[in-house]
Amino acid sequence: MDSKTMWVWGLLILYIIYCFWWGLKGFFSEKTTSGYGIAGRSIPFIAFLMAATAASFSGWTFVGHPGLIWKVGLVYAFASFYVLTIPITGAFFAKRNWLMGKRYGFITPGDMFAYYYNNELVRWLTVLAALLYSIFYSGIQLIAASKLFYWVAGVPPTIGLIFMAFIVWFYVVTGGLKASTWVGVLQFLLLVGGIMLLGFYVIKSPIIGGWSGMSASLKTLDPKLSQVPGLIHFGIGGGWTAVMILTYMFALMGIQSSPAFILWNFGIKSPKPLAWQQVFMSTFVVGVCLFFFSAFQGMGAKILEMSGDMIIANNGDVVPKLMTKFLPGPVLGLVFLGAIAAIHSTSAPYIGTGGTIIQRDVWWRYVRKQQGSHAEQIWTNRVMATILTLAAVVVSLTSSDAIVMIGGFATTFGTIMYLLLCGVHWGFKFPSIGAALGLLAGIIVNMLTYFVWKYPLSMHTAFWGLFAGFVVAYGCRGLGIKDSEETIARQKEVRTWLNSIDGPSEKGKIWRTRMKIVVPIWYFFALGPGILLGNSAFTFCGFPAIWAWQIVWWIIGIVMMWALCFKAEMSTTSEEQIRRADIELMDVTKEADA
Amino acid sequence: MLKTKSSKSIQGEYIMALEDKYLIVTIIFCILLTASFGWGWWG
Repeated sequence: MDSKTMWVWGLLILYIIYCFWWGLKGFFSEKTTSGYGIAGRSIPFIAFLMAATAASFSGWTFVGHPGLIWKVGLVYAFASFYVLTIPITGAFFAKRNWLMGKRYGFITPGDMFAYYYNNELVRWLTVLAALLYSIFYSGIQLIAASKLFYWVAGVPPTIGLIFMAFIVWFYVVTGGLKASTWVGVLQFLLLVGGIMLLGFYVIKSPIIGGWSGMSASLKTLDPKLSQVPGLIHFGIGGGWTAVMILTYMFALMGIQSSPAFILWNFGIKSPKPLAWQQVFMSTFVVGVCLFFFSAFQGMGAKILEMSGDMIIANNGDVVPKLMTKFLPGPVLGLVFLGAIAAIHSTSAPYIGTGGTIIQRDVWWRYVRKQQGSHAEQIWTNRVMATILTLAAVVVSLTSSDAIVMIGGFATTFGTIMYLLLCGVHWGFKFPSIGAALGLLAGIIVNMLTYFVWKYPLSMHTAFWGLFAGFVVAYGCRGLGIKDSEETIARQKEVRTWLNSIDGPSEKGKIWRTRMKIVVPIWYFFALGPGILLGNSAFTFCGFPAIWAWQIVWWIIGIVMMWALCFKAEMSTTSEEQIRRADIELMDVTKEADA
Repeated sequence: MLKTKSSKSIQGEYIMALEDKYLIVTIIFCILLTASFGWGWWG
């Protein structure tokens, strides 16, 4: 075993000890259903701040993102804007998720949707969406892990995949949500540090020749790599057109509206960390990583490939090959851990929350008829998480598509949740049956526009699923379908309470009015048709025009997120709000027998 | 505790909220980082 491999194994063993310690700590301390499943609604500020960020930006960010920049060019680097589009979903819904969970005692998103729409079909469809999301999304994380393990330590991919799945399975099923959150804190530090270190070593390598060398080399590459090809493609597929980039971002907006994240929102102690996570940790810190250091990796690999210094077979190999080529032993060990941390930080919460959702919404509610002790629920939860892990392993062993694109497909099942969340939190009005049929239509259209007609009009699956969902939901309203008196009364009570406790201040109202104009303008220029201007608008400091465009709109985006989350009060809470949330309880969810 | 609103003190001077200070530092950092590539700090 050479010294590099020894560093990798040495640091990996330390990491595994840390993970297992948190898992076993949770095993011996978590004795209630909510304690295990949603951390007893006690996840602290700093833990959520870091762990939620790590979970949002996963192994596909670390491994897949530079890989697709290598493959597609700087056009794909527009996807780096998900440092903003992922948390903007949190700005729309996360605080109100917490408020709803606190008041009504919801444990799963199915509890919330079934209560609000007074419809159990909605619960079942939410479970289905959560399952599809968790299996595919955890599956791609494991693929990334296996590739990494193979290139860095020489472990055969199948064995590496199962080994990595075992680690994450162990600390999730033993420790529950609190354990996976605290492990996520370390994982965030490793993820950010790993991306920066690898990007730094790539750009500073003598072959690349520093920034001046990279900047000069970029000018010699095929212009297609730095030009958005057009607005739209009238047909199936069509590449990274402006509308594809925009609608692909819709898919990623599904990460924080996914059932897993809703459940996580129920678990936090207070909504105080939300705005800080959305603006500074996600948009700023991860933005620095992606807009600079991930792009260095992807374009660095392209330059090395064109000069004959590196042979790359597919996008999943880019990061592992860069790591083995440029990093010295200790740094290789650290960056490897960063990648593994990124992968685990995402698969852990999705496996854990997925297990809780199946256990609560299916097993406990329908098989056990809401009977059973806390201990029984925790154990059955562990069984469900185990089944979910096995399903993710099977998917990852049989999948062949680019890992990032499977990830994009998985997150569409989170995007479709916008339909239900818009109804619950912002009063979008369609009948209960419309909510259920809309969700069903969204899931079916997601499948059709990925497996049968992939990306019609060069628009991502996420757009089509959500579009179908809203058309069906409002179509039911248009047909004159009415809700029962009970449903109308229930929804009215929720609306009255939410509006009362979460109404903006006078200043907040003014900011919200401004943001209704600013946010669409930002989307138009940063991600929409306006990006065609970026092909040749301006350059600075040696950045090609398209890259310079991205950096400028990212910086503007940080200001926009600050205005949206803090000034427009979309993610902030006052002491009065928290005080009221603590006392105005109306628990409608049975937790356990005893 | 985090202060998330700009306000005026008893003496009437403007007190900047914590997130406003963070935003200013963040934007300055982003601009300097970008500019550092033009200054040749990255080789």
